[in-house]
Amino acid sequence: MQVQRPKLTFWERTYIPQILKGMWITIRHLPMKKFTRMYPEEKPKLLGDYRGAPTLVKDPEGRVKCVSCQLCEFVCPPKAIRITPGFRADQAFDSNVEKEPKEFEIDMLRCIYCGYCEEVCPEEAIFLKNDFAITGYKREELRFNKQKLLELGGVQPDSIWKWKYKGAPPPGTPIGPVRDGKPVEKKAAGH
Amino acid sequence: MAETVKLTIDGKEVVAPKGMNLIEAAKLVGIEVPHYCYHPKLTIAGNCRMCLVDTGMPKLDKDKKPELGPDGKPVIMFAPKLAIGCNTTVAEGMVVHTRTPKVQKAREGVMEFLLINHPLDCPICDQAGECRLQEFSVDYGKGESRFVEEKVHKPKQTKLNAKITLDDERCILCSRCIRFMKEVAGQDCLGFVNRGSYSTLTCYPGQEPKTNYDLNIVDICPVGALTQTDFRFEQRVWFLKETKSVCPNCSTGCNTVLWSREGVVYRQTPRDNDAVNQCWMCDYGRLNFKFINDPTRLTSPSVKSAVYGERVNLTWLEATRQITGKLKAAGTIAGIASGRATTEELFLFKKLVGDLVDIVPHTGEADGKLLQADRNPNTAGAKLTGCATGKLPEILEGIKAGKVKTLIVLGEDLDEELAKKLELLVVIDTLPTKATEHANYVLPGTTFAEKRGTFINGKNRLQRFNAAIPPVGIARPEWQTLTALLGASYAAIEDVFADMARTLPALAGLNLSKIGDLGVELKIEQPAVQPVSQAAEAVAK
Amino acid sequence: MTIPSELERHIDEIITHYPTKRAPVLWLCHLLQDHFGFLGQEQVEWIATKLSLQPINVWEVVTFYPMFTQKLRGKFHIKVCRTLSCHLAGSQKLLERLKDLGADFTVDTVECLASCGTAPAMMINDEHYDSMTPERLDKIVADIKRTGTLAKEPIAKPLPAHPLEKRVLLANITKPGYTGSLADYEKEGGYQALAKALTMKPEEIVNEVKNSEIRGRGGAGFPCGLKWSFLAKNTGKPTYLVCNADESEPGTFKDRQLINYDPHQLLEGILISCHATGAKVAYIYIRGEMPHGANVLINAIAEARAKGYVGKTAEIYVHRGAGAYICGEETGLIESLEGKRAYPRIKPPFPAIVGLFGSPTVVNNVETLSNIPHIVKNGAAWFKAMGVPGSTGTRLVCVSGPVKRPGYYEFEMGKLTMRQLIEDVCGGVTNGKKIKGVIPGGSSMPVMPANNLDVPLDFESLRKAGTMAGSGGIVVLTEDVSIVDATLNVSQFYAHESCGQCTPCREGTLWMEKMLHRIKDGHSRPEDVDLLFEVADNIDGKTICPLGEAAAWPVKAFLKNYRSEFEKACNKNG
Repeated sequence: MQVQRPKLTFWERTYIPQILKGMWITIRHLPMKKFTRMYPEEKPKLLGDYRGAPTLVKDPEGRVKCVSCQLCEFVCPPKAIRITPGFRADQAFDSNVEKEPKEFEIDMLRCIYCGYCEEVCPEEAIFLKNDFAITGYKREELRFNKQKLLELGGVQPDSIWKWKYKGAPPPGTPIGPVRDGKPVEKKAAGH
Repeated sequence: MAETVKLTIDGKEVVAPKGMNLIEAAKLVGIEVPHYCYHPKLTIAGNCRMCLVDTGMPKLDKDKKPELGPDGKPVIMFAPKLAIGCNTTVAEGMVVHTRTPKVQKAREGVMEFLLINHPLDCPICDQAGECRLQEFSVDYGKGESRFVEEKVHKPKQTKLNAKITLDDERCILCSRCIRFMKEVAGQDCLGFVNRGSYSTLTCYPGQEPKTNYDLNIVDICPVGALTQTDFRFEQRVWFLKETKSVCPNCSTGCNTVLWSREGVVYRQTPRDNDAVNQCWMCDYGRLNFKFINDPTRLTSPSVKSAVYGERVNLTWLEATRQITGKLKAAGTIAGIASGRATTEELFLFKKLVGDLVDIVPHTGEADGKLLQADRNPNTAGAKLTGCATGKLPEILEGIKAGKVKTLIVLGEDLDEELAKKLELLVVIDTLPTKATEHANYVLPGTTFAEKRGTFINGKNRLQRFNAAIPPVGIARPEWQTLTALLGASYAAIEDVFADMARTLPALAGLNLSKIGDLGVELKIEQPAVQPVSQAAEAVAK
Repeated sequence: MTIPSELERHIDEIITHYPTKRAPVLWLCHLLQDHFGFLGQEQVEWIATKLSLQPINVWEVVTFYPMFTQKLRGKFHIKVCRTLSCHLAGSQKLLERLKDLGADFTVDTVECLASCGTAPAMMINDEHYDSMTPERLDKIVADIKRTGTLAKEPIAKPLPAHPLEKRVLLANITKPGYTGSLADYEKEGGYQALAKALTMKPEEIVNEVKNSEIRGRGGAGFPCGLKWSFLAKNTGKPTYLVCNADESEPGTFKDRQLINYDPHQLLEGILISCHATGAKVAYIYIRGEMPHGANVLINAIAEARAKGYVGKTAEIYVHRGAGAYICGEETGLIESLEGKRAYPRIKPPFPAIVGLFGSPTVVNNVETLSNIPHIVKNGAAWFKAMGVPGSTGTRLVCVSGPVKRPGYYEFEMGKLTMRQLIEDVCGGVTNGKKIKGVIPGGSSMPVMPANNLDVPLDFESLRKAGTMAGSGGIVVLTEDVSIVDATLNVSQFYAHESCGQCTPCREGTLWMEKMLHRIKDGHSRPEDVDLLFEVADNIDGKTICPLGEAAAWPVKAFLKNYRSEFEKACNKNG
């Protein structure tokens, strides 16, 4: 079938109206409200359970929570975690927990941010926190060691302290699990 | 032919030898009855109550014949209480149920009781991954905890002796270790003190376990109460690869398992072999594996450079070429082999060296149980391949007198003075010694963990072992080195074995896979006994 | 550390009583503790060397039995009974008076001292005190402080017979002026049955006992003659007879009377039984908390030996226990006699085949053996004529609790109901309260609720009523007793006495005690009531020895019959 070409007027043939129309569409946006975020000066606001880089946390009394059980090393799909378990210095408070990681290395180039390590950790010691832009000039910079991970993790304000009492707790300590000073309702476990 | 008895377990008919208990009988048909305190090699304690099963016997009428029910089958009268499987011997016509709700409830109950005072140590406990408490609580336990009281506290992290760490809170009081120390190891040193829920395992101060078999209690402890101190916090067991091997520390040849990860061996444990070591292993052999990952291991062939005065590394091709050339030009070649070398290596060595060859004896004190006085694992293999001729004093004399100028040493050390006298000394070894220091050519070998091979133990049992980790550096298994020096064309160790089986009548018809994991007893015609003298051993040191 | 030669001579003599080196351990521990006051490392090692044992073997035993101590105690060791009857009678008040007495005194609570009818009971060193009141206690303590010595406490006089009783075993002691000496016993016709038995063949005596249908009086109620007939014959090993005088079942205090007042009756029974079973050696295992009873028996044996009774056909030795209820279980007793921790054995093999020192053994209760001379003298038919079918003969029952006349009584079995016993014989309840429940056979037996008390006191009727006759220790609970408190007290007893060998009892008893503490103190939740029942149910039937059942049945019975009390206690705070 025959396609009819549109008949252009004189002005349309000079393309000036079209250019001006296009420029108007663009210039119209100049006074409008901008949603551009000036990254990296302005960082995005991250929600509470954002899945960023994994980090190691300390408890409110300054103790590294990780006991190097190596479950995260085992479950990590790309095998990004490498742990050397070690002995914990025998301070009075810690003498109940005997183990601590001597070295704890996460290769961020392998990490896929799946969060399995956080899910499997029985001590609630590894958390995926808010770092998402992991960069570096060398490969070594992107292998986070224990010190860097503890720096990123900070302190976790929780109140279930499993290892706190070596012997019997002082009288008056509520029995059963406690969160924020109140007993936790025991829910039926799903099998 | 032992008498047998027919019984029914979970509907399956079982024919069991008379006197067998129900746990073993159930194993015959693949049914697992969970248990903690029962061990096939120890006396029955019956205190964990985990192996409770429902048993019933046929009802007998007046003439002591089984009464038949309406369906023609014998009427079974079930016992009012559950019975423990480890102490119940099989009886004709017995009916056993291990999966009924009553048994399941009993197992859940016992499991719950075991866990209520057990500390929440799984993340830090070494037994995680091989802990029977974990395994059975998943398989037979409730799945949730209802215990909200304070747990009983006992001493933790105590040193039972230098090799073993004891954690009393994890102990489930099965008494396996007490029975083992008393019955098998022969030192009655462990016991329970206090009573009831506060019972604690301990040893009298000053009377710690001091036998050569202490570490077996770490193996038999079903939980993490007894752990090996030098394996503590080393590695999680689920990362470790298990390789079946044989202990090379004496002529018993206990069957072992090597646990390794990424080229490092972390521990050794015994393997079941009723013909050799039942399921035990002595501590002397168990702890002697650290040399495998020693940093001073020889990693490359080297030659003592006359020009530079120090050692220079060579490639295998170059080293082999030089050595074979020199050996062809040399006169009498003597060889000192090792009783620690595998049978295949000794076979090839004999071919290489000829008549003037002998092994170096290593002896120690036998402990009357597993550890033999002969500390060479393959003396019988050396005798079979003709490498143990008793000519060692003659060889050493020959070197001293200057008659023997060329010597190949396989895995042994040599006196410095004698080494300096030789014109050509080729040493194949794993760790640096005086011999490797003064040798012209050093060819790196592999330890028993890095190669495949066979040993023949003191009772003429041919046993094979496997490679757990790759060799260090560019070291090669000795059979490959010797093949190259011989100029032979064995492509794999099976070919060496096949050649051996053709040549040596005792090995006729065997190959490496036919030996299996438990070994094969050989019928060897012993030649006239060649005494290996103490003097020879003293000189060779 | 030196042992005086007199003591060493005594020790050497005792070692000859046993065929193995390990068995005298308990005796040596007692003697060394009496001399030094404690059993420290030196003492343990001395005993180990003397008996060719390892130190751990001796240390295991020292820490198992609460009577032994590793540290020096005060010069006066006050032991207050804290189990059910004494607790309900006010032992707490006694304990409150015993605070801050000074370094010379050590105060401990102990489990049932087998004197429940005269509760609260206590001991100071080897002296036994009944019916204590805080005032009397104050006076005794003051006397000790003043004089620096402990005055001997006289043994109570035997109770007079009640018209409804039929005294056979207690016949001699009812006679005025009877001292229990050999002369008195022979005057009343003692040791004639022995003379008659020695003319009979052993099988004849066994048949006579079998025909009398006498059932064991220790608690299980197993037919005695049948037990004797199970003994393995022609094994080449000697047969042993053991008399179980380890009366520790809370609520029971009958064997104490038989031993204290008429020891020769027991000795004659043992000698006849030895002849019947072919045993040449018999041991009387008496609990450590009855040192007076042990001395009575030792003296009686010496008297009988002088007269030529003991030592001719069989030897009798006294073996003292050291404070473990589990030693009342027959295989626990055998292990304790052999000098080990009292861990009951798994059965099979049964003691009649492999028992003490690996030889065929029969274990009988004091009361059962005391009946034997009467059966032999008067014949099985005479014995069977008493009582009811299935529960022949007479038995001693012990009544404790707030009744007018608590104490021990001997009746024909089945001729009285529980209500008749409490109302007519014991005079009814003193404090005017209604009866809430009655425990019929020692604390191990399920409680009978108040609406079910018209049950005749024989084995079968009680079994049909859902409980058991047990050891005959009857404890009356009135309205003012908190059942939660009673259950807690009983659970504490079993948790303390559990030997710790098998998992359900070891862990379960302590768990029940902890739960009941919470329920009593008000920290519990509504689901705890069902949880307590389920835990008790998980222990029941899964253990090596009947202590598991003994711990589970009272809890289950109290929960079943008085559930509302538990629910109220739990819901207060749920």
